[in-house]
Amino acid sequence: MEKLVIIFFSVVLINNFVLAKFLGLCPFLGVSKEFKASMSMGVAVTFVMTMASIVTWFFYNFFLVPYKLEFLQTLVFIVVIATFVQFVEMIIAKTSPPLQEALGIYLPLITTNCAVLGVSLLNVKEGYNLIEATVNGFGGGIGFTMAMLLMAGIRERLELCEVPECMKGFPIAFIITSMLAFSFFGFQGFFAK
Amino acid sequence: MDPNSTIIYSIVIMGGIGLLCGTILLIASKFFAVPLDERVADLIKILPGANCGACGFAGCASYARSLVEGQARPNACRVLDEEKSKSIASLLGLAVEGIEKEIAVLCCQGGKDVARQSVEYNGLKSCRAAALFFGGDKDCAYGCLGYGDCIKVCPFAAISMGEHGLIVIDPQKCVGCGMCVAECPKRMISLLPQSAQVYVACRSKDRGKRVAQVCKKGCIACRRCERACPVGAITIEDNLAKIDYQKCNNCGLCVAACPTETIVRRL
Repeated sequence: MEKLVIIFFSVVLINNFVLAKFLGLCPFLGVSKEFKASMSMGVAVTFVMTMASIVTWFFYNFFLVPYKLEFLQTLVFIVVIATFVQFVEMIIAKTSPPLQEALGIYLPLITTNCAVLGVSLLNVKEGYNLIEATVNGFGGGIGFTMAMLLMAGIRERLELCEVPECMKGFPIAFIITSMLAFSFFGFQGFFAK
Repeated sequence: MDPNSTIIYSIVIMGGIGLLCGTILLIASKFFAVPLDERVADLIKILPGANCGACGFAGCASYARSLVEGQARPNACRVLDEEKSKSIASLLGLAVEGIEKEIAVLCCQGGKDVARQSVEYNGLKSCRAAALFFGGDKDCAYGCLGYGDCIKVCPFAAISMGEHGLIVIDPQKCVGCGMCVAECPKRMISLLPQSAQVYVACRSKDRGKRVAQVCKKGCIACRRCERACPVGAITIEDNLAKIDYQKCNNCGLCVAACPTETIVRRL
């Protein structure tokens, strides 16, 4: 139990996918202009990362490990995650149109996002078991959502500020991201004994 | 494990996973197929895709869906010309009804040259922020603030900043979607029927004396237009001239009669 809590908080705060590992930067910058859109994106990413951790864990341990084909992991994970997201999208479209309206455009956007692929590869690298991998994926999604919401909050205020012409748009967004990343380095060594 | 079997296993496993995934998706696409009306896709192609929301739906795709479901009228889109409205109607097998197009006009002429400033405003360069600050930096509580919030929301780039801190709406580009009307914190922009040529470019409901103090081009409710109008289309309500476009015949006598040049011909 203690290990799960440590995994969760370390992936949310210390090893945050966006701010410490610099994964998933393109949806992070692309969709963080509005608070509401970034919330939807965050929920979609959390969902996909959690489920991708579970699905890829099964594929890795039941198909790749027994035949010593670990080197195929990246290839297999991409195929599996893409299929899985498509599959979920179809189910959602059929069963819950309101949910599709909310997540609709964001789900295909993150089909093989690097944060999603990253969480699967990290699960393998750390040698997590199924539950640990699930917690890692879920925490990664939560961390991503948190970073998105922080960024969206700042960028909404930024809209009203006078930013120098050369810094408008992405330059200032990158500078803010770096400051956020710096501040998150403060969590480093949080769980060190 | 020898290299040969590694290669074979790779091919088998990778191919197997690919086949499995493909089959799952194939079955899912049959099982979870959502019946999509082809007409929706056709309609989306015809519609402008600006997602301005003037039709009352959340974007063009949602309007197209409502059209097919019979919940929307084929003339609700303000951007399409008559020909395209007709093609929509014929696609759905409906008769075309005409709709009077509207365009937006700014109901204020109180630029920095004629309207008195009350304070020096150095806050955020946004009408909404300025309006929160004691109603803005003009003495007239009804005037255009001129920070251009409407310029930012216009999906058709029809609004630009003109002289003396007043916006200019290009009637050629304006489609009357009403985004600017909703965005303006002072409700300075109105939608005018396209046939209407004259309008009252003032929103002030202050008494004439007060208006004359703060702005040279505001309506002072002198009632000369009311008397000049041959068809009785103009009335003064709340110290402000109002034109009834059902009666107005665009003769322009009110424009000539107005001592403060408040009633104007549109561009």
